[in-house]
Amino acid sequence: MIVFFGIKKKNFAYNAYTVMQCPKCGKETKHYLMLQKRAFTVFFIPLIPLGTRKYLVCEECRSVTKVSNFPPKDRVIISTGAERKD
Amino acid sequence: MRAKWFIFILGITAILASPAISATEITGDYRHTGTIPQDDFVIYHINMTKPGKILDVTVTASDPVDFYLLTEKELSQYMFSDAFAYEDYSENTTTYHWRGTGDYYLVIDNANVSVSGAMSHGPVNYTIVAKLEDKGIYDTLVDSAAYLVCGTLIVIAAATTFWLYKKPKIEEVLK
Repeated sequence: MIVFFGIKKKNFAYNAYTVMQCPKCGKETKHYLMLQKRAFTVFFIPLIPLGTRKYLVCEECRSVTKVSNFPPKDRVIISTGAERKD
Repeated sequence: MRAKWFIFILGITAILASPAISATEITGDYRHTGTIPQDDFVIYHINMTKPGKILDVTVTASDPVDFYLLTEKELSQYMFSDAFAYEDYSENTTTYHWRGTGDYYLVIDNANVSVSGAMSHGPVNYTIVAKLEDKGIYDTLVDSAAYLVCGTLIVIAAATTFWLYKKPKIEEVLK
């Protein structure tokens, strides 16, 4: 019997951002918050939630930086309230 | 004209009824030893229409013969057409542990009805030992557990899918 298993990732983009220096391009730009949920799948059906990760996406170079704490303590968070499309 | 119709209907009825007439009924414990002539077959009818029946059957034959476990529809195909489907098939010795619901027919076939399968070279002695019993408490529990596990998995899958695709509000994220 063949069993297909894997990890399904679902990204959610938010309009909340912080201004910081991008680790990749080095520019001081807006970094938007992105949330990623992950689940273990069997036959492409998600069965076990594997948690949520937070990322910051650089507005200039689109590079993604993983963050453990959001909002960062020394950064200003700006949220317009209107949510971005996924 | 009426006589012709009468003979026609009688003939059709005889053809349709023939499998049921020639089939031996298996109920409870059954043991039989017999001989099947060349190019002939025997049919055993197993009534499992009442849910919860289990059939344990072992058939041994002195020479290769074909064993088929058929439904009513498949038996009609077997009797009246070249091609037929079957639930299970084997040669020589066969053992079935069957839990289906409905009417089933065990055919021991010493005829060359299909291209593949055992070739008939002469009469074959066979022994059939069958037991038709109600499903025990263990089997009932196993079936219930299987349904319970499947149901739980479906609920978990639905809950996880909901969790995965639901976008958290920004306020929850920023907490």
